[in-house]
Amino acid sequence: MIETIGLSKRFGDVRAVENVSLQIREQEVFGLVGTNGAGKSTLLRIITGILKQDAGTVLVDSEVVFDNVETKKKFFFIPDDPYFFVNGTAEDMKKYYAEIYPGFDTARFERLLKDFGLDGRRKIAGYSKGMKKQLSILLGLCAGTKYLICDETFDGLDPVMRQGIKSLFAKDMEDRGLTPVLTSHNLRELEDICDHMGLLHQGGILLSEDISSMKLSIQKVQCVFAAGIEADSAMKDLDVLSHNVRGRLHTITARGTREEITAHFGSYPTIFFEILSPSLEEIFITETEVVGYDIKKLILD
Amino acid sequence: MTSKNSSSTEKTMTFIQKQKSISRRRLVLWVLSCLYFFTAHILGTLMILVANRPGTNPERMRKSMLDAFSTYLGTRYPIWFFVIIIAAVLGIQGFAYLYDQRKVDFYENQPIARKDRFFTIYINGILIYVLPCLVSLALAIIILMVNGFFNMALLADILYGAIRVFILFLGIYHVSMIASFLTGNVVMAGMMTAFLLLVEPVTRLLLEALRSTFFKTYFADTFAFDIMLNPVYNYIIPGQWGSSFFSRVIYENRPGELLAHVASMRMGRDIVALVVIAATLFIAYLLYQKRRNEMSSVAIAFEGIKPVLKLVVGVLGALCCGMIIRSLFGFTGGGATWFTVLIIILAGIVICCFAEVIYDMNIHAMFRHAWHIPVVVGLSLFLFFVFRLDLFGYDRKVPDASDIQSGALVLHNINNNVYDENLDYIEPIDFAQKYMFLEDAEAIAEIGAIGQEQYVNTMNGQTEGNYRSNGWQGLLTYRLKGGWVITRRIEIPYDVDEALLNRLMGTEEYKEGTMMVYQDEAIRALEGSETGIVKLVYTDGILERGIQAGRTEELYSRFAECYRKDLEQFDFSLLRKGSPVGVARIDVTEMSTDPYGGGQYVWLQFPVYREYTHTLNFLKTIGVELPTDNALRAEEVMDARVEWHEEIADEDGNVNYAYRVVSYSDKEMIEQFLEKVRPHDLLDAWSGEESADEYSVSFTINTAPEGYSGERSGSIRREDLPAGVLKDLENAVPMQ
Repeated sequence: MIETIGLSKRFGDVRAVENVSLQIREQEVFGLVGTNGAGKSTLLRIITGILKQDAGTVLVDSEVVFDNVETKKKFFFIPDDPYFFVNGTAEDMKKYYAEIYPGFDTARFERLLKDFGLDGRRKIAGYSKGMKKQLSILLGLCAGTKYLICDETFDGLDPVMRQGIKSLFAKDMEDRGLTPVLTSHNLRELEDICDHMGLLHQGGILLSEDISSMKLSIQKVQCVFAAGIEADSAMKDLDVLSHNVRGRLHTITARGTREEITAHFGSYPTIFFEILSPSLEEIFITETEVVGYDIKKLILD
Repeated sequence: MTSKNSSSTEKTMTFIQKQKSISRRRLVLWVLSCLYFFTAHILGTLMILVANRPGTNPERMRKSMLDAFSTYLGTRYPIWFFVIIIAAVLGIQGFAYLYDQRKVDFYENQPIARKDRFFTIYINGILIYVLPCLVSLALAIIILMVNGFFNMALLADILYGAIRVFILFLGIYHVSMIASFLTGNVVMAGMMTAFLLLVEPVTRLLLEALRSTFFKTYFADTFAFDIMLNPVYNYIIPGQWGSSFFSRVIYENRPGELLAHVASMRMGRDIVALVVIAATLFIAYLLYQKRRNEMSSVAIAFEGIKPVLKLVVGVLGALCCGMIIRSLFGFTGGGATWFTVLIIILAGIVICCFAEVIYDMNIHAMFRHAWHIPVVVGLSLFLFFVFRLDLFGYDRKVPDASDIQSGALVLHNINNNVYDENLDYIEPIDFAQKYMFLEDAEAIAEIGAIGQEQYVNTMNGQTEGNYRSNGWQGLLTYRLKGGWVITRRIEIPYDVDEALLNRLMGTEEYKEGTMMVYQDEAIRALEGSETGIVKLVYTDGILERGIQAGRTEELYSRFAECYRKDLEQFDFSLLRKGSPVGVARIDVTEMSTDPYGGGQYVWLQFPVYREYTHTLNFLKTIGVELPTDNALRAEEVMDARVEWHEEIADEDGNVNYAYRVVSYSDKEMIEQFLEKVRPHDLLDAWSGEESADEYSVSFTINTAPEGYSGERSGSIRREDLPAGVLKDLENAVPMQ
């Protein structure tokens, strides 16, 4: 498990990360979303031991990270703009990483290169941005580390490649218990793959929740009350997160399980009543609006 | 939580694997290093071989070749400048990944301990230098062996030379590593390397300039620059390029002697250099560990050093600009001070602004931290006035007698050639500092107080073109009990207490540190050798007679014995009141077997007083005596020409040099001159008031004495000139 406790980092007058505490459990996909400059990359660099935090603690499997070789062997970091050797080829990178990571799977790397249509002997400088991204993800997957930490994971990848990469993540999770940590400035890129999401804004964590529990604990109700029923009285004693009315149709987002919500509205006659599963996007919007943020501007535009 | 551990990485990658891995990415530097060393060592060796063939004399050829290869590959290695470039490039390039955030992300997240990465890169840099250097040097040596121009002395010279250059390399390498950790880009790292290498010598030179310009009694002692941390200084300064010593010992294959000589000259500084190397490596490692990885692409990686750097560069730069521009414009008058102050203020402002622009990479940041400007300018001006106005009383400061361990006194009036143990000429002050240990601390302090005060007064009273002094000038060295050695300029007034000066100049210690006859082991050794030739010439200013010693005569040694006995009478009173009747000169020459010459030659001068009976008797014994009443007879002189050299000030106060001449042919007058005239240089103004070289007499000889003809001349004191002659001189027309 990766755990950060009260993590803070400043660059001069700029607060890059401020008091961030979160947990990344093993064999789950952790997604970290936030705008550009929110502190995602800085947080990942601290987690991977590139930067040293000003305050707080980072533990990977209960061990400190910074300058700790044994801990660093457990993860592979793919930055937003990965570096490759000048005039280097995919073969060169393979050789290099094979020396650095004892568990590097050379055969699998060669196979995947072929599958993804990448020429191992061609200079990486001649690759497109997407190809470089593919190469770095393949190198990361083949390094055989327990954690794969990717910054702006799918940036530059076309939808087919994204799907291919997501499949590889899923396979490695199943085969060898990989724990991917993915960041994006766009929530929609991550929602179908992540088990747990963190929302970072201006260096601080706004939200960090399991997606399943988020989905289970928030319900979206669409209903038309029978004549004489006051909506306000019907919503009394309910933890309502949002309420919209269009004509006689009420759309209510409220906290609670499906059963609790059904039971609550059972005592109020309705002409139409339906419980819908809210999308991740809707959950995020609802949750962050509660604490005063207009999330749509932050991660959906 | 567990502790950090890098052991398993050690297991997965061996030292060689790591070096191979990193070398793959430093191929360009490997190639450049190989190119340089193979060109310098192998091609250079071959070129020397080709350029010097064929030789007519095999031995001469061998000697010449050994000397040429020793000069080129040995401790006098002439192409060290390129080693500095290589070291600086390796130091900066090795850790240049720190300047690129992408590379930092790439390397720093890998499971490699920072310590491991540091030493892998560090050792790789050394290997890039060492391996091509050693291989090319070995090949060069093989070429020399094959061609027969090789012996153990040359090998010792080459190996010691290689070690010294390696020390130079490490010194620069470590400094450039420190510079690369302090900065955030390659350009700044290069500038920082230059700064770190120059800051010490520039500071020393600046202090030297300030002291020598503004402190009257300051003397630029060679000890002042004896110890420096700068690796370049430690490498190049001790060298004695082109010394015939190397040529001789290598040709005669005496490696032990060569190493002992080189070590005696350089070992001290090499040890200092090694200590500096260890310290700079430690600092570099510490900085590497402390440097934050987010500091790529910034100008300076440690915020804390920015103001310190600005202050040092600002103050040094402002003062240097002030002193250089003052010197370039040749200002020396009262306006010079204000001119220098103006330059210091302007330079301080410009440097502070420039520093901020560089720090921020932004021209608009020039007035950021504007309060630094008055601090830099204020400190610069304060330091300037400390020297200009001698705020701390440097010129007045005389050590307390109780603090003085010993002293050394050199008066410029004593013309004395002195040599070191290798018979190389040295300055009298260096000779005195080596051999003179005056013990009378009270007298030293007293003479120091009188001499320094008078010297300052004389200097303050001088104007441009008028350098008259009111006493005998010289140097006084105080050796303090704390180990400090301080030398000051002094001027001893003509009315000095004779007894006080005799307490110093009448001692054995004074004579041992002034006269070569007390430190003459090397001369005696040369005289006793097969190749040493000794000549003795004695002159009274009119006549001179000489003799060349036979192989076993030990002419010098016998003369020295007699002269030393006579020197027992020597003191300041003798100098002041006595009158030398002649001067003996001894030339000792080594007829070298070296086909290109290069033998030693020394000449020594011995003033002979009437009281020096042992010397005069010896001169008589060997047949070069001259009658003290002078051998030149008046009948032999056609005429005597008296010259008066004087300084005449014009309306603007400028002093011009002129002379007046009167001639006499009457026998009576000539006889008076012959009686009083003395050799030039010996009639120094020990009597005070008048300089002896103001008056001279030249005699035109009609019947030449044996072996001599033409014109003879000597000096004469004003009081020895008849009154009529003085009147004639005053009436004569001055000529320029």
